[in-house]
Amino acid sequence: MRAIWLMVLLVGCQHAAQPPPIRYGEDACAYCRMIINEAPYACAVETQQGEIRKYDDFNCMFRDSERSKPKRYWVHDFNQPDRWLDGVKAYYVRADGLQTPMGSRTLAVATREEAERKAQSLTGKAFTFEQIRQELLPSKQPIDRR
Amino acid sequence: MRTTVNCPGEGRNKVMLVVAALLVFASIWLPYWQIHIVAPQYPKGLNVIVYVTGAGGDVREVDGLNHYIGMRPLGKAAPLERKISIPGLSAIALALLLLALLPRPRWLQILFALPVWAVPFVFAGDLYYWLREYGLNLDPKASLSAMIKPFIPPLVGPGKVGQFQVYAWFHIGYFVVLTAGVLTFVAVYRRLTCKQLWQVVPAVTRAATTIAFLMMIGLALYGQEQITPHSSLSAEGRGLKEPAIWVVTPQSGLSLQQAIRLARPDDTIRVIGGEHRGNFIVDKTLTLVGEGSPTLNGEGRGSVIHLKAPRCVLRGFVIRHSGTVLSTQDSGVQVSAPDCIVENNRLEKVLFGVHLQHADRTVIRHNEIYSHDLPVARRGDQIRIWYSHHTRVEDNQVVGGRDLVFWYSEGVIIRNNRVRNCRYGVHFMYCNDSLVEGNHLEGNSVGVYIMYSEGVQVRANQILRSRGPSGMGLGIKDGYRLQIEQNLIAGNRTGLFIDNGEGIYKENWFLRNDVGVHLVLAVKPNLFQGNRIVENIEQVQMDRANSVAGVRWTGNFWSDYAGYDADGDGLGEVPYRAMKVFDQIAASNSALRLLTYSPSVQALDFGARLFPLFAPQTMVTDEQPLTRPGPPPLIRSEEPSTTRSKWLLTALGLLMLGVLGMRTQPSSRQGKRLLTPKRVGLSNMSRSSDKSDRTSQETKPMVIQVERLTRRFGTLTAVDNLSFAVREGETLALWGANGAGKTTILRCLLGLLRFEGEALIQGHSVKQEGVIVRQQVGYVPQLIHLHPDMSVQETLYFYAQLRGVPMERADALLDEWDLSSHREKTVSALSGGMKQKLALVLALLSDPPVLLLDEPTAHLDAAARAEWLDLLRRLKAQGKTLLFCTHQFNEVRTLADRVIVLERGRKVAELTGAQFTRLWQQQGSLRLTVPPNQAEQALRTLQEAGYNTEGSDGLILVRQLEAKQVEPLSLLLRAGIEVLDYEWRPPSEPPDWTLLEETTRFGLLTSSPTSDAHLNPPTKGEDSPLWSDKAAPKQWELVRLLAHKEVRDARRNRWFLMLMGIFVALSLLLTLFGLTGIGQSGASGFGRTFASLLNLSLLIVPLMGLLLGALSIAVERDQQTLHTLLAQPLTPATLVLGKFLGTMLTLGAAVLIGFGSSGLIIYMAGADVPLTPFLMQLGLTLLLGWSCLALGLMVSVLVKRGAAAVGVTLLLWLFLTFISDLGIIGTAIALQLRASTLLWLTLLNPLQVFKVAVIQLMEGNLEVLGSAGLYARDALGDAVLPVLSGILVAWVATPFLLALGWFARRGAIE
Repeated sequence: MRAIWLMVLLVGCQHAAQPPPIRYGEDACAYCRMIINEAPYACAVETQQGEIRKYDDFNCMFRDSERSKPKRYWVHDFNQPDRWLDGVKAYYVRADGLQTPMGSRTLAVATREEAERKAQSLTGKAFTFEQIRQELLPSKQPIDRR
Repeated sequence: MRTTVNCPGEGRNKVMLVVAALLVFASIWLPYWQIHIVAPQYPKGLNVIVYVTGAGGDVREVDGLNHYIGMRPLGKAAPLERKISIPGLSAIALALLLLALLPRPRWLQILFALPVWAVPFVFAGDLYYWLREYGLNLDPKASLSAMIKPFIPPLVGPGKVGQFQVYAWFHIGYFVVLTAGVLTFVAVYRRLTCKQLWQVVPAVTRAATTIAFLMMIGLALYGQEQITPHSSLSAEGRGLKEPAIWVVTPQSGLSLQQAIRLARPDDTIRVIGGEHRGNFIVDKTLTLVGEGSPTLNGEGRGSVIHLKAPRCVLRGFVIRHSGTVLSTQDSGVQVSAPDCIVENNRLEKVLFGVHLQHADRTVIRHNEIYSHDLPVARRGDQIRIWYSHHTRVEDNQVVGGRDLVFWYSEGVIIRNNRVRNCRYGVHFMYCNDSLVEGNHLEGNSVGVYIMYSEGVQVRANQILRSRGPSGMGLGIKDGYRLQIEQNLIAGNRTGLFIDNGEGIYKENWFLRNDVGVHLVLAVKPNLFQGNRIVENIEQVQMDRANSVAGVRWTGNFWSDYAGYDADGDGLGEVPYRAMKVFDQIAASNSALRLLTYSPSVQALDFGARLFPLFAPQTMVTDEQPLTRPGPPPLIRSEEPSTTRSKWLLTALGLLMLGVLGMRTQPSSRQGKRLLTPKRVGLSNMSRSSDKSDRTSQETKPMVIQVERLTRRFGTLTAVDNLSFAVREGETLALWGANGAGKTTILRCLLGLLRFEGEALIQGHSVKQEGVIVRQQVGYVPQLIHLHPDMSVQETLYFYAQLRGVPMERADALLDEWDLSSHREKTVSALSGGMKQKLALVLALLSDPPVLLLDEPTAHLDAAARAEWLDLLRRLKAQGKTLLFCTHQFNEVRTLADRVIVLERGRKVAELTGAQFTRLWQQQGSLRLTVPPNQAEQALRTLQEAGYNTEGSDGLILVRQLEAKQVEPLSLLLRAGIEVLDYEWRPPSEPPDWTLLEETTRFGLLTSSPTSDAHLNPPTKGEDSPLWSDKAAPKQWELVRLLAHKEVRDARRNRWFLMLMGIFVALSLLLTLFGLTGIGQSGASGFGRTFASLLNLSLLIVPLMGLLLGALSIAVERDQQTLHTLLAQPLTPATLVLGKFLGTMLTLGAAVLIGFGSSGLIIYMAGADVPLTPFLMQLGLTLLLGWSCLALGLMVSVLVKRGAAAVGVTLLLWLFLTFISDLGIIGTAIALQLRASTLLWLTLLNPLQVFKVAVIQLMEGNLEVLGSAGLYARDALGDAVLPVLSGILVAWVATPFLLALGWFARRGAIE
């Protein structure tokens, strides 16, 4: 009887991952350990092992992904910070005037048109997922000092 | 009379007079006097020009300035003079014209000339009068009146008007009138003297006059030069910038906004008291000084004050109520220019405190900054510095904000600040070559966090109790060329955290953190030297050994160092090595961090040390560890301490509750209060015993009716289809050998065993109304098993309470049955006979109408047996119905009205007592001893007489009834045979029941009650209050009674007392050691104390609970008191529930005493430990103990013997504490279980549930448990504690209910 119960539990735990809830002011970035405070820049991944990792900025997510090799990415829509987007399908804008928690100066939006609009208004540049990842990876992103 | 004749040159005179008249007339429109004011805010200064008609120039500005010093408006001066000036001067000009036409008379010349000569003097005099009037009569209510003393502005030359420098001179108009006067004088002189002036005066005089005239013109011009803007006298011309001091008070009409607008660069604005609302922008270099704490109130919008100019100073203000918009960074003070100073201010309810942007060399010091009361996620940074190099932040106090964060700024000095309850105490992002020194950082989520920065020095700081999310004292993320020295890092969750960095760590104290040093990635060179790593729960934690290859340890002090110092040089002779098996295991599956703080983990590491063969890779090697740490630095915590009295009250309350829970059994008086007292005097008993008027036996009602009773034990049928009945007042004996089923029948009738068939006692079904049946039945078992450690009185009182019998009855029975003298003796000290008597007294407590007796005289000697039988006869005579088991003939003969003979569970005969006796006796034999030489003769004589005889060698046995044993003797004596000895003996084997004369097998007696075809409830006789249905106590009352007894028994349980003593002692010691050093080091030891109590709870409390539970039922079985208890009017569920509640109380008392003692220590130490989590941990510990108690109870119900139950529970304890965790570790590694799966698997263990709940309680999050902890938080959110508590409650309820069900279902005695 107990074994059946156990099996049910084990099976029940193998559910498809959803974007995680983020407790702002409490959850810490899995890469830099900073406490996640700002919803528009908060993002998350699911690793190959099914572990959920949360980040306070995009550069942390991409730097950490070198090691964790995620199978899913989630980012917040800058225009609707309570809404998650599929990170791979989202579009990104990088602008010097943006102050982000870890200095990525990047935001995410749902559509290319919105990204281009934002890029224009912020005097920045629009990127796809792959492009922004290359942009923010450590090899191209030394310690950002002016 | 001499007449005036025309003098020569009269024409010239006329011309001079006409010119003079014209000059006078023209002067009406010319300025007579001018004063120049050097006002810093006016680069060109201010000029007031006085005409004869009024004042001109910068009158309005001057009036504005004069207003502040209380000077009246210039337009109000000289009203009369202004009115008559034009007609007066016109008249004077006309007079001169007339004079030109009228050379005579002489008196007319002087008369008409006097006015023009008087004008300069009158003007100057009048002007002086008004200057004096204005300067000496200032309005005292003017804003600067307190600062300005009355004065006289200068008529000519330099002077002061208020605080301003001035310069006054006569203007062109004055000199024009003066010239007109000179011309008039010359003309009149010529007319009067007919001489040229120069003919009268000598040439020198002429020259002097000319020179004087020229000088006059020169002076006029000079004066003009001084007061023109380009002149050196003017402020601008002199390059003079004397700063002004503005004063703003609530009474003045000058607002701060106005003062800021009016002030010139480098001015000072003193603000004295008052509240100034709005947003202030300072766009010029100003010094703003607050006196008397003036308030700048932003009214909830934007930044309160913004310093936009360099070298501004903001000092002494209360700044509050900025806006609350994070995106616009609404601040108390915003600085966007270099070299500013923000000091001695108090910032309250501001989103961002002091925000610097491109503000190099700014000084922020001696400020107090308090955040808006907002959730942490919505707060702003209390000091935020962005691209502001060489900034100094010193001696500030910051409470409750988000961060002190420094971005992209080099050469920052952060010194001697006190930062409390923020998110990050100091947070560097891309800041190089900076210094953090002498700061006190306490109660923040993270103390100091250095990210992506180089060349940072962190020195002599105190970083305490960083226990929020992340919970790091000092964190390094990609920090290089760091120097971390002489810091005290204490009471944090992680003391030092390094994720990629390079630095030198020297002489730091890592004291009583949960983890002293946590290294995630440290491949670059890092040197740890001279540090004190003291009493951290985990000294060093490393995620991966090969990721910290760059770390070198030397000369550090380790509090867990197990080496020695042979030569006294303060260095250990053997290296310090840290090896953690669990760290290595967790590295392979980070979800296993879930098992952190489990005893199994500590056992793993301990085992690795014991068995070097299995030792893990060494994580830390310190070749020359220090053996003496030296004195720790003194700390003064700045956290407000909680009210100590609350702790004292709580601790005392817990102790009291604990002691109350261990109180003794209620006294006899309390015993009366437990149950509804019913006063029953002895006369009732005597009345009930008087049955002399009863009808004959055949008409008496049935008291016991049994039909087709069958009981099996497995394949063995102990009782087979038995039916019988017993009438009121009748005594029925169940006769049979051992194993015939007699005792089984009695136990079935008591409801102690389940059976097939039906049985009624007093009309109540044994199966459905067992409690009522047992209330009306007294039972005396064959072997008397009572609680050996209870006294006679305690035993009687206890069973009296179980039956709802008042204590007086118990006392009366004690006296009646001669047990009073043995009242205080324990049952174990009684003789067999006394025990038997006590058992009978217990059976008679409620004066039951039915007595069931099992072998009543089996263990008594002959004398006691006779006495006992006599007692039973008396009871029979009182009309009681007796059913007893026996294989003693005397019992049957003495007592039985009828006998049922049993063989192997089946009824083989039913006889009257007389029939049985006769048959018995028939089966007996007379043993005769005769002389051997007469033996044969004796045999022949008896045989010839028809006796059944056998014998040899003088010993002859004759089958004969006992009553007729004389007959063979007489026969032999008559035959002359000597009988040496004779003895009649009962049959040695069961009689042959078929030999009975009047009966057939199954003994049909016409009066046998078994002839009744159906079980008919008897008509009930007079109810005795003691055994009636209404007298039976409620089951919940019995639960309480049993619980009390259980608590009392626990106090005599050595195992339990020992464990409780260990628990209390360890609680005291652990708390004491955990809090030691409050006065010395200032560290509260919060985490260590509760971590220690957590381990203690995980080990000792389950053991206590399991043992208590295991012994609860099993002990009764061992003592064989279980059926004695169950023979009372209570249900099995009542018994189990009573025992469970009693053991819950006992265990709860032990835990309360332990926690109460700990609380007292905390109170005495004055430690700042929050009360609510302490109490909640107490609650969780109780749940843990009770859950193990329920498990133990379940074992106790299932296992027959106490020793076996103890053994099983010890195994269970080992399983729950160690083995299950090891199994989970193995499974997790083998199957690479995910965090979610591992979590739910682990929570099957109530110990793990407890541990996780306590960590959530103490830390506020489960981060310390790794990814599984994070998953739990994500999955359960705020419901973590309720869910875990619910699981523990389920662990209490489920085993208990299972135990209850099994106990009721399987029966009490198997």
